Amino acid sequence: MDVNVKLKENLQIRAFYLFFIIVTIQVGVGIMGAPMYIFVEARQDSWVSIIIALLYILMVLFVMLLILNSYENADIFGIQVDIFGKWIGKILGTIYIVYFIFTFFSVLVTYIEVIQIFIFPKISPFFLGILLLLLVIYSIVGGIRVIVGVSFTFFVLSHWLLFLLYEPALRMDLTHFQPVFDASIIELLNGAKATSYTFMGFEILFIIYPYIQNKKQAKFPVYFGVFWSAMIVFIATVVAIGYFSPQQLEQLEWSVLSLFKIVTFPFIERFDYVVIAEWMMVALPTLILLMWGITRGVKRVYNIRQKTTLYIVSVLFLFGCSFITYHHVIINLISNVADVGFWLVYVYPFFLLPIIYVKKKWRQKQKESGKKS
Amino acid sequence: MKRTRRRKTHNNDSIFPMTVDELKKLITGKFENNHDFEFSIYEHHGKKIAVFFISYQVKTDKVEDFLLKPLLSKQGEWTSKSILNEVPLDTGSTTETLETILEKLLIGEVFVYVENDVEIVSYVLLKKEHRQLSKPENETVVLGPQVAFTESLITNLNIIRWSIRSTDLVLEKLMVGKRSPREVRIVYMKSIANETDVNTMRQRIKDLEIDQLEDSTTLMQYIEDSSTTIFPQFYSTELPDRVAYTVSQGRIAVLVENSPTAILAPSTLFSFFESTEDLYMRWNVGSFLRILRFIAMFISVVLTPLYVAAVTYHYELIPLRELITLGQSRAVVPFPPIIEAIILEFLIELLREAGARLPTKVGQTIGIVGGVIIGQAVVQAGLTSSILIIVVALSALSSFTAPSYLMGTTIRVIRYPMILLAGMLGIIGIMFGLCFLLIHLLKMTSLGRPYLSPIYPFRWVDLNKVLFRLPANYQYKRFFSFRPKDLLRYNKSEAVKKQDIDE
Amino acid sequence: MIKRIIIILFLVFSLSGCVQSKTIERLGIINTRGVDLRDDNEIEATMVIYKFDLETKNISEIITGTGHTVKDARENANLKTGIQLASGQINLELYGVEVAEQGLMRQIDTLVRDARVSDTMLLAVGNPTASEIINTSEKNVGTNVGQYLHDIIQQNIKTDVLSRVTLQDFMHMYYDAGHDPFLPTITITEQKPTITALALFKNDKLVGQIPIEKAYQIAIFNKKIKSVALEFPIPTKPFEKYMKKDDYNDIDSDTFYALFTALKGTSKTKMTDVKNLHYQTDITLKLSLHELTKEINVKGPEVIKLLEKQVEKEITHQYEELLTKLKKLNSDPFGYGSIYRTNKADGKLKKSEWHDKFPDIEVDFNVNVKIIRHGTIP
Repeated sequence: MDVNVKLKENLQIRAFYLFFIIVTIQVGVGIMGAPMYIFVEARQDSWVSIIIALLYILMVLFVMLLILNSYENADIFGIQVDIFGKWIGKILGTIYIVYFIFTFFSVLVTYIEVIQIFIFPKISPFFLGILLLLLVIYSIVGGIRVIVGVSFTFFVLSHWLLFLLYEPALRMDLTHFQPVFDASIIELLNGAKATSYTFMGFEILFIIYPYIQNKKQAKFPVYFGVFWSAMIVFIATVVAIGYFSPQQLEQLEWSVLSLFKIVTFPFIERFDYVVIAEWMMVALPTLILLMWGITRGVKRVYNIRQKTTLYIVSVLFLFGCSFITYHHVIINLISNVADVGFWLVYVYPFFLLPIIYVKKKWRQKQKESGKKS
Repeated sequence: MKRTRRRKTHNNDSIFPMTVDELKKLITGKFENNHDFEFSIYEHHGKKIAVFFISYQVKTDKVEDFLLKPLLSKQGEWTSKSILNEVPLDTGSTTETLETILEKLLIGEVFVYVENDVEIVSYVLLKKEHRQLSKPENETVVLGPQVAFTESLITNLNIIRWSIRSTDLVLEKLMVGKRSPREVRIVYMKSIANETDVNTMRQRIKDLEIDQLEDSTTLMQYIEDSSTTIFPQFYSTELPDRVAYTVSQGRIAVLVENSPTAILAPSTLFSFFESTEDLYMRWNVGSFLRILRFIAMFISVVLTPLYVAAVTYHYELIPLRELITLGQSRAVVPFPPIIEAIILEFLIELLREAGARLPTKVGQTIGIVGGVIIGQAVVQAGLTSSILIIVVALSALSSFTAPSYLMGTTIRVIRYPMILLAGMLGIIGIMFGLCFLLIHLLKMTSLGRPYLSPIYPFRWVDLNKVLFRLPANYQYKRFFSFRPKDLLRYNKSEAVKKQDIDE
Repeated sequence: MIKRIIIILFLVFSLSGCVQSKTIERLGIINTRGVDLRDDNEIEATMVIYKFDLETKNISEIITGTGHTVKDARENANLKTGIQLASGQINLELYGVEVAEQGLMRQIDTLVRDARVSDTMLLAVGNPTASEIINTSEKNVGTNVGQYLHDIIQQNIKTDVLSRVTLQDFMHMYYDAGHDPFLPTITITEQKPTITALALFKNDKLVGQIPIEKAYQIAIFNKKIKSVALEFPIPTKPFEKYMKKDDYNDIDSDTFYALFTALKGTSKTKMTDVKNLHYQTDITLKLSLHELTKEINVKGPEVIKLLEKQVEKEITHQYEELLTKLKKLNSDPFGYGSIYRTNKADGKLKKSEWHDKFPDIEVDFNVNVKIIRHGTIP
């Protein structure tokens, strides 16, 4: 396996699209329940937690970019093989793939469950799984150009949902935020940790980075993308805390969706139905990018054709999602993914960076000593 | 140009020299039972001269006045060279092989052969019937030039030349069709058009292995990027001003002999919603009309499915007062909403098709009869609810706002799967359909260029040419997404120069 | 490609049976639901439904069902009709007084749990029972009772007599510690349904009512009021010298009434002493004078000043009266508890804790009235 990735020039994308990739993969189904999870930990100061989380993620991204830039054109799979050798590197690569698989699965199952709860209580998850996976397969077969295109266009086409929040925002009760700065540091940090599932996904940067055409300009879109998704979660959380009573919010599984329940228009009485359908445009890019990450990873680590992986994994997902019917299984899945992801996404890069630097130094020394002898 | 070929050395296929009688036998043998083939032999200074042509392909009065008269009145002997030199016609050329003779005969050349000469002389004196220029029928515009292409390629080229008076304009000639060839012209601006695009287009046309070409629309189907999709990938237009504008923006037009429509490539999805009228309007009005069309398309695709979805599954979506009217009118209908909608959509489509096929006068009556009488009867008979009539009429009307007939038809056809999806899965089905359409559009290309540009790949500078229009001083660039050789239309600094108050 | 399309179509068609269709003409769409308690402790639900039928012109119909829960009662009612009852368009839920006194949370919980129910639906109390309100109204109002009842409440919310009483608002007030919910009460007067009072709750239990004329005093705490009509009794004495001469013989009645429209009314509450639960509430009202039952010459600023002062006095008095009553009922629709919570050191407050403390609070009402318009007649 080559450490660096060689790509045809027409497969490369402008760094500008990284913004959309990062935002669409971060803002998926996680945000639907995020305010509740954060609120349970940090109460009325949840918004501080989100800012803390944002700052931490910016740090992680800084480290990730340092890691990626220390190679010519490598992705995480190549880097790990380069650092830890073939065997350990491949195992670590597999862990990434497995993590992506479970994240994908949790997103798929969550969206299916939301449709079942809010719109069609009796629809079979198998059927919805087919629909979603068909779209995922259809766009992945189109290649990286289509995948990035989906994340870009769906980003544009789904952001109007934010404006609908004005209605609940008008009904906010500001006393819900008082007293300010009441939560302890531990609570705030716990709140920040509760966002980990919502904000997950930016690790796609580790895989997609070789595809970037103008890598020098990649920093801004990446940071701004994370800032943007943090802002969305921030807005959603603030409105949810202001709109719902504390006790009410603690019990609301999909608090963000419930916010839309009071939005009505003269021509459409209940906008929450439209929102849930429209959410397909929010969930799909996440699914597509994750699936792309899986197939790309398998190709890099095991050299299996992307199409083969795509079809096999899709069929497995399809059967998987039709078997999961209990709500608590889904919740467990999400919390497990969040736990594992936390270490892999938020902590692991900090360990990787010094090792890379040490190894680089060591290699240089070897080269020099080799020259001398 | 053609005279230089005279000096060519004889090749092996040459059938000359031969006697005139032999030639007559040979040629008439190829035209058995063909009474319009004229072969006449003249004796001039002891030498036989043969003149032959197909009578209706040739202007016979010209043959008599400019060819036969000088030919027979001259004192002295004729050779092929002297004919070319002395007969006052400028289209003369010489030929040697039988195949070329036959080919040229068919397109209306007149042949003159002096007995036992080594080559045969031919003149282009073709007669071609064509209709007069007329008003556009399919792409009518209120403002701007009121002329459409005709079936005559010569006339069409003439119009284009007059529209773009520039030496940059190239009208490249290609022949397509094995059994009966047709002339195809690729039209582009040498200094503006992207070379890759021109090469791709030339290559695609050259690589065609077909027996014959029916029309430019069939050529379009042969050379398009994807043949499975429902969306047209090239714009087919009958408006010369549209072709002139498009070509001057650095894109390519293709004209086909005997076809009154030109192909424009590469095209984006949005170009199908642009009318040349947008250009002739003031920029703000033009923008409004363009945005109106996009909204119309969205309505056309989504409205009927939304009705079906709401009435079948999501009664919660309907505001209460409408729910009552809707419920009352639905109560009489014996079918489920999906069948009801499909029946009515089908009816509208029938009306449109009947109106298009029938003679104009009858067609208009059909429209009125269909719209008013059948609509009312259907509601009274309790086959559909009255609200659905409005919904279907609105979405049909919307689809007719597309300036491109091909695109309008596509939009109408897309509605059917959408209705089915809505009938089966409600609003989720509609969303699935929309997502699928979007991904599909993202995948598509036109002449290798992304179909959704400039939305994706996103080009901020191009948005003002596609989604809306800006005043002329902001429109100084060409469409960047298609990478024209020369991006600037005119100088920006001149265009946006601003004056102070009272200067 | 074609093969793929065929496979997809096949899948779609074969699986389409999974979704249950709800075509509107086969549904009984519940518009208004009344919930009452029967003697045997079962719930009786009276529902106004829309049914779209060929034969009958009358689209709305009343059906009843009984059961242990509201849902049970709906199922029970379903047995009596050939159509499927659907709850996605409930606009108004009426609770009988008895149910409300027992606590509403049990009923409301089913509404919240059901994702099909809109958060914008209105809640109200029917006095004496919801079924009586609905049935009597139907006899006297005619068709579309549900919409009629809904419109009465909606109209009063628009004119700022009430503050919003949607399901979401009730939940919000119930769950916010230190804030008790309230709902409008509908009674039958002169054979027609009318809003007569504001029902006050302690937690989710109905504890008392105040007349609807005084509801604005609570509404002003929740929103800016803009158009409510107000009537105040004003003592005649200070105005004697401004009265028109020919009216002089009427002087023996010692009060007259003044009718105003509020152009703008806001309130602001501060906690002045957290420990002793002292509050100061500033109420600012900009009024437009409409009618006086005695002819008084209101030309000149001093008459207006005098009138303003009298109105201020009256409003302060009304508030004090109201607070005493609320303390007795131990219901806090103003939300003083929320303000206490935000001023408390740890920011936490339990409902029971506040109900222990509420009777001990003290509020200084500081009313500021400005009469900025008095019509075309001076």
